[in-house]
Amino acid sequence: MKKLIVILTLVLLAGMAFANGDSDADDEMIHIGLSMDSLESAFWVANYDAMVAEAEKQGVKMTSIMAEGDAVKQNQQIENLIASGVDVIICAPKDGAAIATSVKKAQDAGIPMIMNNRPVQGDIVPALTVLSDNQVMAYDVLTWFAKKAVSEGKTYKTILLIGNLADENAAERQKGHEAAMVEYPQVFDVVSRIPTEWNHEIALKGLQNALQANPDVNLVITPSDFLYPPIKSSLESAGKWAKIGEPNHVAIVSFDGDGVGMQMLKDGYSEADAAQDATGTGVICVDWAIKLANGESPSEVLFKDAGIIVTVDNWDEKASLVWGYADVK
Amino acid sequence: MKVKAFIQSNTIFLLLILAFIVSAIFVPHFTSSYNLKNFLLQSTDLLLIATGLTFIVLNGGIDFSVTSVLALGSVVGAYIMALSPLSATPVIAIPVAVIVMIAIGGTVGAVNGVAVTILKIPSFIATLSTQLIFSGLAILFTKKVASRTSIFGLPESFFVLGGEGKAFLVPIIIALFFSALAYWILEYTRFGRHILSIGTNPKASFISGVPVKRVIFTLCLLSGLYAGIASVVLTARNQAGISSMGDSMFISIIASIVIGGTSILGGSGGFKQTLLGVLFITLINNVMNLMGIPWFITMIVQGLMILFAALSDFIIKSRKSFFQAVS
Repeated sequence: MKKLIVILTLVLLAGMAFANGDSDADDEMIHIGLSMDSLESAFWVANYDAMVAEAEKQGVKMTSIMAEGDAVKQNQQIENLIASGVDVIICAPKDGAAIATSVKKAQDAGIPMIMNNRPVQGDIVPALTVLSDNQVMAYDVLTWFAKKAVSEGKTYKTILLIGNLADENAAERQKGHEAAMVEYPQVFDVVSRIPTEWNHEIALKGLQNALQANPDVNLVITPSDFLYPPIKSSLESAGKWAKIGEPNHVAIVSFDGDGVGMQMLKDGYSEADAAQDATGTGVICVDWAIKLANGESPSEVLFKDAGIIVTVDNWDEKASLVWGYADVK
Repeated sequence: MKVKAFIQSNTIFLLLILAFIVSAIFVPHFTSSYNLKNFLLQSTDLLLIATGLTFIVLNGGIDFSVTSVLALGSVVGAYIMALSPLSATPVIAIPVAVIVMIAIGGTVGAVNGVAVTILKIPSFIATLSTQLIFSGLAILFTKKVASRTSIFGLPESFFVLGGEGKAFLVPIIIALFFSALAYWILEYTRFGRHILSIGTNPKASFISGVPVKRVIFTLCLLSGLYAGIASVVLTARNQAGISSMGDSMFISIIASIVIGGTSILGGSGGFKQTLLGVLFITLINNVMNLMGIPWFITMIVQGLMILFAALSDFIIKSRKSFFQAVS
């Protein structure tokens, strides 16, 4: 059997020899290193695909690596990207604090770094940070819902789902949601706040417990369309998965604008969704990576995308502008 | 025949040399000083933790909890250095943090030791449980003290232990020292002979007077302590206490041990093999990143290598037992 290991290794080594390969043409190309945390949700898949497609369209070389949700692994992989001589690094970090050391190492090596949809924590400032305006979008979508509730004279027993504490985006969305709820205390009665760690299992158990303890819940606020499966499952179990206008309907206000979120809006299960621009922010990252490699500098180091608030009221006007709309049936 | 025997007994070493030469010739930037430094630094934490686990594997056991030691040690140490009252005086905070991080490893190891030797829970179950418990504690602790899942703002002088700047040899020396210490324990002490003897046949060892329980307890303790030391190096290298530290590292640890040639069934192998396995796994990951090979191909290659290495171990052992039975 040792022969098998030898054969496998030799195949690998031969592969390295044949695939090595910076041709002269490659050497002259701009080389972008792309470090992703994981492709755990439709948002990140669309964002990743958009960057790869844009790099191909613009004729630049892109090397992508995946940290599989491990902040330590991501730092090691970025060290390897720096060593491979990339011109710019685009990074969607697993952990905003842990990534700071990589940003510093890239800066020391003269390689600009663009943070993609998650900011870095601490004093280090990367060349550019491209973000959705999470707090404002979360505030706006819930404020729209609150105003509608006031006009209809409705009040809501509310479950608030929370993302991962290490994810600055999740924290920002929670801040936006909380701010809107503080502004409209007559609308929202929060009976449960559930930290989900961006994990379906944890979200499902939390929702089941909250619905058990509060059977009169009639609003779920979620920080991502990614959490729709546990929301649907728990509401179905509680006999509360119903469309707008049907008895037992539980209103859902969501975030992301992926295909599932858009479908829920179209089908009448959800009232509103704050849609990020997954593809647009990806394209901006690649555009700026090329500009940075060519020596340009952005006038602002923080780019915030305002997103689109899609609701049951403006569906016809806005839905088609959202990246997830393409998946709606 | 001598050449054949040499090749057979040094397969991984020769493959490593071959891989290194091929990489140096064909992989762009592989021989740059920046990359070689990276390669060595990336091997250090893996070497420390894999060395600790090798003690257990040689004995025929397993320790899943080593990754939870990384996480818990990392966040508690980071708390002491960045957020506790001691953080104002790094001269005191750093040594205290280092001692506490290693002590956490020892404590987890001792808990495993008690579970395996006194409560007679198989190491597979005992360490899987403690892995969950201490990983959960790491997250809980970080949330309580920092309202996040990581802690940053550690003193810069601590980063020397992770090889920051001109001090890049520090973690390499630490890792090599503890690897050599493990080698010495196994090769030159009675305790080392007991490890292999229990790994080969625990019942016969017990009958011949080997203090089986004491040896197993000490191995659990050593595994935990080595993970604690790895936690210090890895935290210094990442410059943050990370509650998810080591979450996906176990596969690389096991791969290093198995590909090196230590039997996962116990009784054969050693620390020289683990060192080679660590260098081999780190080299493969490094080279694949340098060449821009998609991550899913890297995963497939790693998986195949572990599979073939483990399969070869099983087949060799099965053949041996078959021929022993026949004779």
